[in-house]
Order: sequence, then C-alpha cells, then structure tokens
Amino acid sequence: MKKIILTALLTICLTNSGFANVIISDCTQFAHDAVAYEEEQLGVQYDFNTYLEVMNQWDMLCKAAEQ
Amino acid sequence: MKLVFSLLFSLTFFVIHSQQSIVTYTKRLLIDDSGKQNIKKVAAINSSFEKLSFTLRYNKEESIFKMDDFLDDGLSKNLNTALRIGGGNGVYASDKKNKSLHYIEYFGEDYVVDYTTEYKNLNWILDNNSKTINNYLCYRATTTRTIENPTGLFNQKIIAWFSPELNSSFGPIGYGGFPGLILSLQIDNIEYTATNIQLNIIDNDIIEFPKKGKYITYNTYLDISKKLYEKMINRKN
Repeated sequence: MKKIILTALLTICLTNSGFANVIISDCTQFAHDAVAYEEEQLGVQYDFNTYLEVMNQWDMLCKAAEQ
Repeated sequence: MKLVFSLLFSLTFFVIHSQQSIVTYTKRLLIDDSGKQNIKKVAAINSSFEKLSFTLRYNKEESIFKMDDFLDDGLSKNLNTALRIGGGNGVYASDKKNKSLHYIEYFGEDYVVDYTTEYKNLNWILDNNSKTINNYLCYRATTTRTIENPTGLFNQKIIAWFSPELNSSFGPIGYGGFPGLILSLQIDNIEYTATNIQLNIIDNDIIEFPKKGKYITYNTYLDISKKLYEKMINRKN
C-alpha cells in the first residue's frame, strides 16, 4: 500500500518534469536516475558538488513522499 | 605647501586603488550535436538564464567574479537548474598572489576552495582561430579538464576566447592566465559571454573578497564531497 502511495505521489510530483516512467525501487537509485535524466536532457555533465546537490534534492523529495 | 602635497598624494592613492574595469557576462546553454538534448527544456533554461548576469571586477592585481543580484520572484525549477549548471555560484577570486579561489556555501558550510593547482595543470592549446567579441579581436584556446562525480571521471571540453587588446589575464569563473582578458568561455555546452565592458573607471565599489569560509584545497574539497556522498547513500531509505 505504502509503495503504491509513494509511486502515485512521485508520479504526480514528477510528471511535469517528465519523470513519470521512473520505477522507484529505492530513493538513492531514484535520485541517481533523476540526475542522469537531467544531465541527458540538458546535455551537461555535473561536477561532484552539482551532482550531490541535485541528487540530494531528488532524494529528499523521494523520502518526503515516502513519509 | 605640505598640505597640497598631502592632498595630491591622497588623491593619487585613491585614483590608483579605486580604478578598475568591470565586465558583465551572460550565460547560456548551447544546443550540441548529440541529438539527446530536450530542445524545449534547453529553451526553458535559456529563458531563465536571461534573468541572470555576472560581473567581473578587476584591477592590475586582483579580480572578483560573481553573479549579480536578481529579482527572486519565487525560484522556478528551471531557474533553479539554470543557477546550478556550469558554475557561477558563489564568489570567484584571483588574489595578488595569483591564487584562484572559489568562495562557496556547500551543504551548509562556508568554504574557500583553492583551485590554483587544478587550473595551472590545464594544458591549453592556442590555435589560429580568431573572432570579434564586443569589438575586440579574440583568439581561441582550448583544453580538456577531467572532472569527477559519483558515477566516474569525465572530460570537459573548455574553450576560452581572450583578447590581447584588453591587458588583463582574468576571466569568468576563475579561469584566466592568458595574455588578454577572456571575453567568452565555453565549458561543454555552457557559454559565458561578455556583453558590456567598462575599462579603467573610478568605482567606489572596491574589490573585496568574502571574509568567511574555511580554506581548503581542491583535493580536500573532493574528499569532503565523497564523504558527503557516502553519507547520503547510507541514509536510511
């Protein structure tokens, strides 16, 4: 049940960003996928700090949706 | 007579120390030939970039580069992305000892990251390409820089266009060291371009480096990043 709610919430949150098809297995993996997707969309390669900041953002969003 | 000399000395001192040049840069995201970019997304980011500008303030010995204040009308996601890609956050400085310093707030801590060695190790290649930017003749220099993130090592392609007509070795986001000011800098798909150049003006806004921040080398900064990453992935899901 929790998983369904989480998926639904994240789908709502992320639909505008085009992330609707991301399969959420865990938040860390989800955050990695989100960063990779963003890098590809923009055609940029993030350095360590930017990568962490973006990853942290998606990770927090995922965890917030879990609660 | 003594008073006149004293006044003249003070005036000369003031003029020398308050005379500086100010260059405004804009930033944009270029379309590459990979075919993978989301063109609509790139356009949205570029429209957010229009809200941002950057100022390089320099004299003969030192420089400071930072983003100008902008109207924060509730940060949109695109503006947020525009702010973080391709550098430009924090304050970049080149001091009298030719040190390249980056003042940043990183996960709640203030740091002064010393990029001097990192930048000095870059192997620039100057070629015969030239173009005019803002009426100044510029020459091209290219290099690649290896950057690291949690997924591995990557080569960034960097192109600098500098003008020997502008007697300064500074440039945007801490890059420099050429026999002329950098008027355009491209890091992969991100491009900084000079749009306004004011030379040798008297300005009351002196070049002043931030006072806070723990001094660390670039390698220490990478170590801190790796530890933060470990902490992040070990957080309970």
